[in-house]
Amino acid sequence: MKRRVAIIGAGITLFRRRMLESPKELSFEASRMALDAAGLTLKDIQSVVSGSAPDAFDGVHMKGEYYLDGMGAIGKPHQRVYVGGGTGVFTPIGGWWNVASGMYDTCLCVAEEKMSPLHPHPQYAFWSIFDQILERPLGTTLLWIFSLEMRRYMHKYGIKEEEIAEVAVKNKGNAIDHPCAQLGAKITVDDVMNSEPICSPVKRLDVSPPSDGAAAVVLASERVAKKLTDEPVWLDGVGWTLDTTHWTNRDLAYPEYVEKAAKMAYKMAGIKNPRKEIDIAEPYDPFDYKELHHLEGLQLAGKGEAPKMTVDGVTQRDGDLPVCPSGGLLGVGNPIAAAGMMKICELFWQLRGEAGKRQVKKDARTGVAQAWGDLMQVGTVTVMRR
Amino acid sequence: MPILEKISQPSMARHWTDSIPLEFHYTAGVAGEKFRRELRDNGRFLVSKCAKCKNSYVPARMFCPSCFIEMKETRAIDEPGYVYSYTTVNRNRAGEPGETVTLALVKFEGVEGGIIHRLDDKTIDKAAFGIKVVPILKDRTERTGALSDIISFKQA
Amino acid sequence: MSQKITNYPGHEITHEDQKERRYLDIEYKFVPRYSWAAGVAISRFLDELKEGRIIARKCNQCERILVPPRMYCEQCYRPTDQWVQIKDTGTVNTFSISHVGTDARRLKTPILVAVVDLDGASPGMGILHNLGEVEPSNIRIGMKVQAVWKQPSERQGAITDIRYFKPLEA
Repeated sequence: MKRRVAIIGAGITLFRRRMLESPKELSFEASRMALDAAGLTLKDIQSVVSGSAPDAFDGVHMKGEYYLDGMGAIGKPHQRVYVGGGTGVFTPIGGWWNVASGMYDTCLCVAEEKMSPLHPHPQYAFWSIFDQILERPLGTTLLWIFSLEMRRYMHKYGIKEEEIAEVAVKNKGNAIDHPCAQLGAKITVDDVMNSEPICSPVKRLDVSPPSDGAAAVVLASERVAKKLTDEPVWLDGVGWTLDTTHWTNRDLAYPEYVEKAAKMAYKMAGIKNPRKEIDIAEPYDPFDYKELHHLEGLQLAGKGEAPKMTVDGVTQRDGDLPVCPSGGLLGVGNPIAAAGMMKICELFWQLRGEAGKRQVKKDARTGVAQAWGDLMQVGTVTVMRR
Repeated sequence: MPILEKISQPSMARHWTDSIPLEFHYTAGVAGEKFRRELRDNGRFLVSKCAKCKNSYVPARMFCPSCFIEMKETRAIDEPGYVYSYTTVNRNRAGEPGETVTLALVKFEGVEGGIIHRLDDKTIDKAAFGIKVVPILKDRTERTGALSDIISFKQA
Repeated sequence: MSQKITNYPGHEITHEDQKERRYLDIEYKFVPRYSWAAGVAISRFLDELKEGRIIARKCNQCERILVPPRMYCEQCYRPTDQWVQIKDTGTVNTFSISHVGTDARRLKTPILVAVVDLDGASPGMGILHNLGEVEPSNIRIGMKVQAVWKQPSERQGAITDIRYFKPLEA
């Protein structure tokens, strides 16, 4: 019989292109803040789950073993979970296993990423995720896969680049109010359209930046959570699935793996009509079109309909379905695993009414966070409620 | 059912050879930056002290791993260290016979952690648990704040 | 708690800090070499490329013709059954014009990239490759293309034995 799991504290560092802090130090800062918020010390924590994307960014093999003292995990049961870019949202899912199973009453979940060590650009590490025999010899970059997917999505549903650019405008604008944001800015659709074409149809301002940063949450069982706080945020649904790495054999216009993960999480949370029952969403937005793609996979918009929803203002902070009120990866930054965890932190603060200037207008009670990654193949989803 | 079709001639099995060349520019970190500057400028090791458990750590760290709080107090070590353990290596990283090097883990009284480094030629013969050692430093102008600022440790 | 916290931790190192070398960074190069086994299916695929042909595998249960070929069907989860020669022509499923190289440095001449659904394989069975002999502005989704092969003497059993795909009709 699974137990109900609550989030009782969250913490986050600044997100920047390059930070002085080592991976251990970034992890410590985020963990420390989450513990303080939960009113706990490290002694109260029974297990630790960490998340971080490829070791090639930090440039440390066995990264999970290296950074664990910054996560307070020395001498505790610790596991590192990994599904590429989906890792940030997968990390609290790993924590959920620890607590829902009855193994532990408290679990610290920390996501860390330091992308800046890789020279000349973190992009380079992504080259090695492609097939070493059939794809890498062609001179691949990660941007290819995104631009190929974006083009197919636009083609299938007749979407214009200008409509997609609205997402970048909204998210970078929202990020102005995020105290940790790297790229908060007031920009226009024209700015996006006129920005440097880097891998058409992807332009400079369609893309999130590489970043250093960390974020963390503390999970507790229902019994412990109710003792510690009057405002627990419940982790009521979790879902994750992966598709094959034969990405060129797939329908690039629709993320079926996200749909499957979302349906798993919704079923667990008892959600029958996501568009009506979900008040606020933090889908993964490493590229602006990805937010739209994912809204559709999450069943929050019909296929090909997310762009119109965005243009109509539905996804603004004062709209009917606020999407990425944090500012998302496009605005806050994209330290891969930490970026996904940032979304979990954002929903935690939004659902408790603590988001300050970023607080959405509607009375949000149920939220969904989602991340995506690996070779166009993973969806990780959590449903959170107050 | 297993896959029945196999490659029976080894010459038919293909391999693809390539590299994943990576270049890293690491930051030393908040504590690491201070440690490296102390080594470069003054030739000394920087230690962090926890205000709660009173433990000290070398190299300097930002936080106490057991109390999980920031350590703000630092001091530089002036006294010699001691050989905690040592080993003699006769092969290089590729496993081929190479230069003979004796490496020691040097610890300091009352301080957690330590420094791994070479023992100098004259000290190798006397290498023993507990002997007091001090670093032989490169000239100040050649130091960069890396552990290679130390040539080796010698008997104090 | 977001609005209750005023000071978020972290020290930024700016681009200027790096240029001026204000911090004691440590630089390290790592060049591991690998020899990856191509396995049963891809060894044969590469041999066929060397001969100027493209080969796929068929699963008799779902009847899909799979390319790149694999010895098992990931959907039926059983071994695939037979080799099938497919054509070196296909349709552009999607494409991009890449102005950046693998390390994100800007390129002088952009690379044209496409997923090409190959004729003779099941619908949607595409491979990643480059396009050539075409103006970037003339590329369209749905365009018919054909492989342009290297000379037989230059082929080495690699995906690059196909130089690129070019439009089938001028």
